[in-house]
Amino acid sequence: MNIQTTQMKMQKKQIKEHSDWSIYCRIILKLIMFLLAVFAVANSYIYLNQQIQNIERDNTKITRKIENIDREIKSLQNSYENASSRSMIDRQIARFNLKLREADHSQIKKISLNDGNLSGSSLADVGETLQNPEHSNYRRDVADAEPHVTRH
Amino acid sequence: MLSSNEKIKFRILLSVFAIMIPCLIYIICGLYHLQITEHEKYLLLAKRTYTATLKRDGKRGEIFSNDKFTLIANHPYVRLIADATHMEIAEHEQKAARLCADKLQMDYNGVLKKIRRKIIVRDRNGKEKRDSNGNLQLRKAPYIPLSRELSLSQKAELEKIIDEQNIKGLYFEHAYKRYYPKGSMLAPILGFTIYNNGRETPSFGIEKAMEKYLSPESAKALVEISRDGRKLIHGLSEDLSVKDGKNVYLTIREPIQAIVEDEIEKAFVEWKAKAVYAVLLDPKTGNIWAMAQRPTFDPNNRKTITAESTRPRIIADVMEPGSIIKPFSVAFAVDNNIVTPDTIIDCENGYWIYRGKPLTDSHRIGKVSVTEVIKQSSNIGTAKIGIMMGANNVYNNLRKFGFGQKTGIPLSPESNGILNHPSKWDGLTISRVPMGYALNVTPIQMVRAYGALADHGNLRKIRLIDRIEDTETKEVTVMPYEPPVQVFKNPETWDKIVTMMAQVTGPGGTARQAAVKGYEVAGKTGTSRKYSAGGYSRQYFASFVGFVPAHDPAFVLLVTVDAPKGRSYYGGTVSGPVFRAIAERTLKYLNIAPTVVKEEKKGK
Repeated sequence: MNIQTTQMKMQKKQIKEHSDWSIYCRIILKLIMFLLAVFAVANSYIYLNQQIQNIERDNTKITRKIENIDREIKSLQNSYENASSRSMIDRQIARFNLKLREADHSQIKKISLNDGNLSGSSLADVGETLQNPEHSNYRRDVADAEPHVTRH
Repeated sequence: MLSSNEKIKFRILLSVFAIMIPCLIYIICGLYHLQITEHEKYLLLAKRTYTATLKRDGKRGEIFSNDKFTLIANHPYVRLIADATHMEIAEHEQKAARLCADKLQMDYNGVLKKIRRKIIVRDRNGKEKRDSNGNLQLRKAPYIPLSRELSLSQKAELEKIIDEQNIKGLYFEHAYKRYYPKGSMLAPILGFTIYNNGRETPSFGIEKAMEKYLSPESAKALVEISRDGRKLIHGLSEDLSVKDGKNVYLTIREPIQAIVEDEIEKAFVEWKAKAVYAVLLDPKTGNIWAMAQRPTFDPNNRKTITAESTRPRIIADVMEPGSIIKPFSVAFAVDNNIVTPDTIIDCENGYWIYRGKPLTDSHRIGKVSVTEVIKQSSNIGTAKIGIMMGANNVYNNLRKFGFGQKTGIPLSPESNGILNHPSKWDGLTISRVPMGYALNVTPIQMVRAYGALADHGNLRKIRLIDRIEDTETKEVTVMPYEPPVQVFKNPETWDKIVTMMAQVTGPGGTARQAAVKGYEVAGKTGTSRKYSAGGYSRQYFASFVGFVPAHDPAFVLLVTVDAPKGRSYYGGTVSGPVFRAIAERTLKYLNIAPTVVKEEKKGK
């Protein structure tokens, strides 16, 4: 019997077994890494989805709040229109005997601002215009009108 | 070379593959067929199960005056809704009913009965479902309207109580309704809507005339629903992009409208009239600044609505105008040099027989100028001028001023009035038409014609709608101004006519009570008998129509009182003071300073 041959065969067998094991390990490791990657992606997807749902929920809440506020604004506007109507004011004047009357012509003066010459002007130009009435129609209009006076 | 063991293993493996691969191919083909080829069919089936179609309407457009006062608005309100499917035990139902009884003054037992009412279960095709015994399947109702309209403050109060007491199965539904913040102002013109099948349906007036602009667009969208039919908040849903209706701006000026409404209300009460109406027009544009009538109604309170109050008298009611039509025939005669303001006409001392029929004047006058004929409102003088004109000229002239035709106001039903062709006249009509009988006109026609007299003979189309605004894009479309039609041949005619008409409110005129201090008023009184079935009645239309300041008019105003009762029925006495009151206040509002009036001193 050749002991060296048997020993060599056993060594060869051991080496072969050892190399088979490392191959298996490598395969399994690759598989695990692949599964980990898939798990990570799935987890991220779920997390981001949850975040989206939370934001959508908040968005819905805020949208509803805005709609509620819009409704309240509309309701207040309508109440204002009702309260400021001429007939309502006349009723209040009569109710509280306020003795108010419409102004006579002599009690009202109006000035009108002609802004036709102001387009494109700078503030400096306007300032100069105000000081030099001959140079501008704007100042002339203002100068011709009497100041707004309400005399009682 | 393979060993026998290896050969066996290979054959086994081959057999397994020979069975597996066809199965695999079959499965893959099947999946392809289901997922790709039949995808649409199964997706549709699935959608029908887990989706529903949600429909929503936009908001109806609102109506404003020219100066942006709101005349018709959308007002938010809330309704209390019960969902019995969330009331699992009797205590939940009782709490909800108790809340309604305490806070909304509803009947406790009535509410409880409503909540406990069961509804029939139906399948997707609407067919009733039955159980194994053949009995109808019933379930609790998910949507039970409990309350009428609640305000937002009431809703806040109820919400607080629902949270505190942990009442289940109650929620609030938001909606909008039409609201009229100015109450009865302009009500017969604006009209109103009726809530019908989830939509506001217009009944008449501006609401109906402008329906194509005011009505919103609705949108439908697929939404994901749960097993019990509720919309999933975070489920799949399409965007519901509804489009609100457009806003309409009228030519009406709210403060002036308020003045007119106020004054005709006083006249309506004072004269116990059947009706009173007034129209105020800008002669330079044809814009109506105010139009009002009594009786009226408050659209916020439907109990005030009657047939009489909703009738749009200003466009639909016809009347024989009487003396207010006299200036038109005289204007034609002056314009065509048939007469001049100084031509002398024999008014026969107030009594004249023409073709066997008597014609009388309320004031006995003899031979006077055409100016005096207008000033004293002589029927005989005007009849003679009409006879001088000839029937065809009388007819054509009135047609030129818009009588016998619609004015183009965007409201219905508008009457044409009645102006018969001369071929249908008898021998007497030629004497009657120029003084305002044998024809029928509407108030709006009369105001329009006087607008031509006020604006140098320019007859304009009536404008009531000024502009339309898109609520989303804010784009504004202004309704067009149509070019006027000139009714005078001679440009000097206008001044002559206005000067004559200004005498009416001056000393010796029939409308001293319509004179406005500090201003020259050009106008005409009219008192016409009402015609009803069987003949002329003892009731009258008392009118005054005029414009001020006479030679640069700011506005034309017509006031008519239908069947006044009391100390007088004459236009000058009844309608003249109303005209004066409205004109004074409107001139102040418009800040039109008094004009200098030369007073003619008699005999000096």
